[in-house]
Amino acid sequence: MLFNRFREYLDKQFKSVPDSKEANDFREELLSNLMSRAMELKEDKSLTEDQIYQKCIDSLGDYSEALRKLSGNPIDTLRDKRLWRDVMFALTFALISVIVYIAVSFVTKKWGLTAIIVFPSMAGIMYIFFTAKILASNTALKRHALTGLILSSYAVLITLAAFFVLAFAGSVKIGPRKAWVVFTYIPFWVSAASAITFAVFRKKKVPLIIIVFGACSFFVAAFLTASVAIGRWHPTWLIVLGAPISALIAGIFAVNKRMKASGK
Amino acid sequence: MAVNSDILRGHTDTIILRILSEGDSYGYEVAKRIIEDGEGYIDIKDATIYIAFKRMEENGLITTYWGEGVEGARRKYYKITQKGLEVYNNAVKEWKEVNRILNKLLIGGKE
Repeated sequence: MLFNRFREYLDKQFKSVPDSKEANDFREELLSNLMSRAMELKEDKSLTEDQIYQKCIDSLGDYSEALRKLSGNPIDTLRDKRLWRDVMFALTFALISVIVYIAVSFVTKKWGLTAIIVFPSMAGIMYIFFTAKILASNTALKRHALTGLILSSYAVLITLAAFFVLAFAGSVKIGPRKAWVVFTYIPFWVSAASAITFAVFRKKKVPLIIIVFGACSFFVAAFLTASVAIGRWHPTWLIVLGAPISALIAGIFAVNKRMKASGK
Repeated sequence: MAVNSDILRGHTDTIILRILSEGDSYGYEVAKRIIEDGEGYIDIKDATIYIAFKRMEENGLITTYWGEGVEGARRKYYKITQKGLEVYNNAVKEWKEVNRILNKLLIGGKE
């Protein structure tokens, strides 16, 4: 039903706007105008519900300035219940971390090791929780200035965790002398994060430079992994040749596509 | 051939005041009136109208009240104030003068 679709759309748009009478009034005004337009468009029987929905949304134009004004007042932000909910959540979480630390340390008698494991893990979970909220609001507002950076930071966190697991723990414990190789994949993960930001979040074409950089950094990391695994640098260096080859293939594809597009 | 709202820049407030001087109205109806009266040459987005509404309300040119709803969402109506009417009349007087001068400058006709 169109009414519910409009309401869902506005909920997303107003996600990062603090709850206030002014914001609620503005939302209701937008909703009633969208409905008025939709009801009139419905008289044209040739239009589908999706077409009516899109026409109504398009007719709104760019009202991000009005939304920014509603969310730009620091006093309103301080008054916003959602901010205090987040603060309370963070404090409770910190308290739980301390309790977990004391309880585990008390049982295992390993106070130092428990601190090294519990606190960074809890901080990581908290970081993911809050950055996920930023990602959700970025998606709602279609602004992705931080999206690539946040996704890259997840990759770095996962890599860091992988290093510690591979180096010191788990069934495939291989030691820090070899486990450092996981860090060489960071450039690849960063380019993958950028590619995901372009393709999934911005719904745009991934720039060629990101594909080429991603492929090159992958082959370099793969070469280092193979070399460290077998303890020899020859003939594993041949893997690096994959970098220029993949760059060439990506380039040819891009040029082909461009030629086809201009041919049309 | 619809043109964007650039052509209206500087006149949006006056156009809205003119529509409101003929009777109270709400966002969608005002947008519709502008597009209809623009004879297909004018395209205006709701956002432009909301921003103008807000500005004029802050300046005391219009007031608002809530009216009957459309399927659960109330309509916000706008009403022109005495001050708004005065501003509108002055703007129209000014426009007539500017129009006369611009016609002279652009077309070169004699008065």
